[in-house]
Amino acid sequence: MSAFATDLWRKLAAYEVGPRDAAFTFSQRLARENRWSPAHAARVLTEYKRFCYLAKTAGHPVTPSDAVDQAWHLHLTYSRDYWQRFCPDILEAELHHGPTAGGSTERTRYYDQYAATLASYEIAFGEPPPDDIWPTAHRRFVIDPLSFRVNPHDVVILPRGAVRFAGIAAGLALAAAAAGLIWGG
Amino acid sequence: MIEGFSTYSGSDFLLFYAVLVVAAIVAGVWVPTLLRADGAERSVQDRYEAAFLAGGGKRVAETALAQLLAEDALAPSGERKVRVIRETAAKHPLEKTLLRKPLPFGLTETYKAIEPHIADIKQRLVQQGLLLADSQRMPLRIVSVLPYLVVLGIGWFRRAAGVAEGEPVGYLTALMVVAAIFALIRFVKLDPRTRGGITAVADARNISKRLKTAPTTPEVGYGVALFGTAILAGTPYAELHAMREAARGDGSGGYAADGSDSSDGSGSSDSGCGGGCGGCGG
Repeated sequence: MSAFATDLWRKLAAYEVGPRDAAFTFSQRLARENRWSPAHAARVLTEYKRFCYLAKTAGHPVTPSDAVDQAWHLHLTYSRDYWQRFCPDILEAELHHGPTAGGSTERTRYYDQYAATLASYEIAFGEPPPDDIWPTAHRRFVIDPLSFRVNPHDVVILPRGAVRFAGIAAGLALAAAAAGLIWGG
Repeated sequence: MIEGFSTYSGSDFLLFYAVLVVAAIVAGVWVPTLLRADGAERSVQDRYEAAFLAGGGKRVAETALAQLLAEDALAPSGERKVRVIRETAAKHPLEKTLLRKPLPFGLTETYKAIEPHIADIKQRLVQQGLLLADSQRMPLRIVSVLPYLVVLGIGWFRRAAGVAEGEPVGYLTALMVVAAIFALIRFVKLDPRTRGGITAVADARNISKRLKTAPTTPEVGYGVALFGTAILAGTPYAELHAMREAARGDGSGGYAADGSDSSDGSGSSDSGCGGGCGGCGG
């Protein structure tokens, strides 16, 4: 049966994390903390709900993508909402968060869970997970874990591509200047 | 008309000739696309047939290693090799052949060991109308390079006229060399699939695009068959991708680097907290 036809999905789809009258909503906070657009944060929130659906129904342990994990982390900080409303009323089960203990065995276990989660997603929702929110294993297990908190008050953040482009441009400009000096006398 | 070429000024003819070379490159791609045999409209399910259609015989070897690694029948054995650690209930004769190998082996040995199976797969694909028969390939190669031969002929004529007049012909010769190199590549690099074969791979990739992200254990072989070993980066089977990259990077056209040095060339890194988070078991 498609997930969309289930009561659980209907409840999850309609669920709003945090107080309804909050001036700064859960989705807005998710966008700000991750520097996402409001539209992207809203999509991640939907994927988080799909992940929760799978956690309850897939029949195997599930592993989120990094983006979905950020939504889960943030939801866990709304502890009253998470433990007193969401788990008992919507999931009707306790959904615990378990970070990896590290090491190659754990890495294999979490890779297998991630792959199984994506396969169950496709069966439940009738489409493959969007790859900008559920990325490749390389992105998920090699690149994304490099993330850490920074404060823009203390550091300057530059996209790596822009730095590479600026470096190449500067190199070409220097080469042109050197050539001008040599041949121009 | 040909007479007219020799009366062009050198720079005018060079510009004209450059346009001809570009036209030959376009025609070299377009003409075989038009003339390619239709073949049959059918899907491809078998992972080794899919591998051959998507990436040729070497992809078949990579697919076999990926699937057997995922099933824990093989394990990395250092120096870009794998060894049999467990005889699984392998169904495919090609897998059985590999599981009988007593010593560690690399990609080159894998390919050599399963060459007869690859020949069978190729024959089946021809019979199914997904692959061009050998007899269909040469005419397509020749048609693909015909535009280049015309362009090179015109260049040769103009060059001879230029030499006779004592004009400089260096740039024209350089353009002709470029055209000849493109012609050679076009002749050697022929897509051996029928239209049906090309469509079958495109459809299979579209239906199974999730495998590009993270295939489950039973899907690893089929994922590699369709998308190559690059999908293994970041997975527990990343060593195979490293083996393949090392073999490709040795300049031998691949598959000759087994054990040539002691680097394992692993494409993955120990990410410490690599797993992220589990959840409830449902």
